[in-house]
Amino acid sequence: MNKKLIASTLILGFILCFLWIELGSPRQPNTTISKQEFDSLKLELENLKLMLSHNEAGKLKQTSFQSQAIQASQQQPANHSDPLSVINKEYNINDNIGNTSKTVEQIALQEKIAMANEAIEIETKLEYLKTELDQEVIDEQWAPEIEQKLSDQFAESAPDDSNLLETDCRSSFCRITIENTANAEFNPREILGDLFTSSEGFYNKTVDNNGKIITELYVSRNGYNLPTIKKTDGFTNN
Amino acid sequence: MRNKFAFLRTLALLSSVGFLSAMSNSAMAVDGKSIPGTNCIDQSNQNDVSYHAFYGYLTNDVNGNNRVQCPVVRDTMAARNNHFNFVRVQLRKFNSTSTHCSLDSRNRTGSTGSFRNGSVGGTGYKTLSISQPIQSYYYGPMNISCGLQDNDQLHGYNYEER
Repeated sequence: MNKKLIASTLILGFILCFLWIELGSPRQPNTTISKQEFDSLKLELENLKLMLSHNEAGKLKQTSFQSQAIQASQQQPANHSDPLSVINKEYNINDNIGNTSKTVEQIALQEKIAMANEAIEIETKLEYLKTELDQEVIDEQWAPEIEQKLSDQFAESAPDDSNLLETDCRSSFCRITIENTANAEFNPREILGDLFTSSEGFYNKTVDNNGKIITELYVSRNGYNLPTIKKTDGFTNN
Repeated sequence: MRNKFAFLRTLALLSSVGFLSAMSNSAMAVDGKSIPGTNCIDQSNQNDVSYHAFYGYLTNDVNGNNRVQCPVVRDTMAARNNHFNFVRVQLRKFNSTSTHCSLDSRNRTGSTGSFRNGSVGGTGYKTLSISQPIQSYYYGPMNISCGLQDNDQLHGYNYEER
């Protein structure tokens, strides 16, 4: 009797532990946005998720999402005019190492969803930072001085074929916009020199109609953080 | 009485299994790494640094600021707003001028990135900490970049992923 009780309790214990581990394990970040301009993208994303759940990967190429979200996340065309070719190559690598739990199509879809989420998050963050900076008051003691220093630092350290288009500092952070050719690639952080030694930064590069790379760089004042999107704004911070 | 004893024994067994599973689960939640400084490379000229392989550290051999790049190996590939619990760089400094390091994170194409700067001054064995959160990107590369001062030694760096 006792043996039966122990055996059944053990089985129950294992089931409970399995549920505990499965439900308690960390999940992939779930990014949600509330911006109106991304609504259509969100709809496409939902369609993709549905397709993933129904394993209908073949329909993927028919979606307009491919041209919207992926291009948004691959804003530096350079040699990757077709980002999917790069991704597909990686799927093959995954396939070769023997991923038996998921099909190549499922992995491809999951990757597209992750990249679409990331593209949305990047666009949202850029817009949020722009809005926050525009609303911030100017610290007259700090802003003009740091803008001048940034300009001097740029003249000293930036590569040829690059131009400083804008420095806009307020009280807790700055936006710096730089234009350069593909031959004058550089790490945007490095034009800051040692001016921002305990700060945080975020940058995004796009290509304009003339083929110039435009880098939008946000950097916080020393001892400050960049503004973060609050959960109450409809975003998820993980 | 016998039933009561069996019940207690079963309860104890269940608790043990639950405790062990909880421990194993929490152990999977974080992943720390400690990497010797000899894994870093000079950003512009390899002759500007020397490697002390036996002790695992790197020395800046030029006067003034010299930048080195150190790879960060990720275990978690998902994008996160708060990827690390901490990042530390272990230095030995012979010059009181502050040494600046930054944790760089980029998306896969390099078109978007985030960074977090930190610095430490003084001489002797110093730990430069970057404890604030940083954004990571889906399968995006990460590295630690340090501007070493005269004779600075970079002994290693360690970090813990969430």
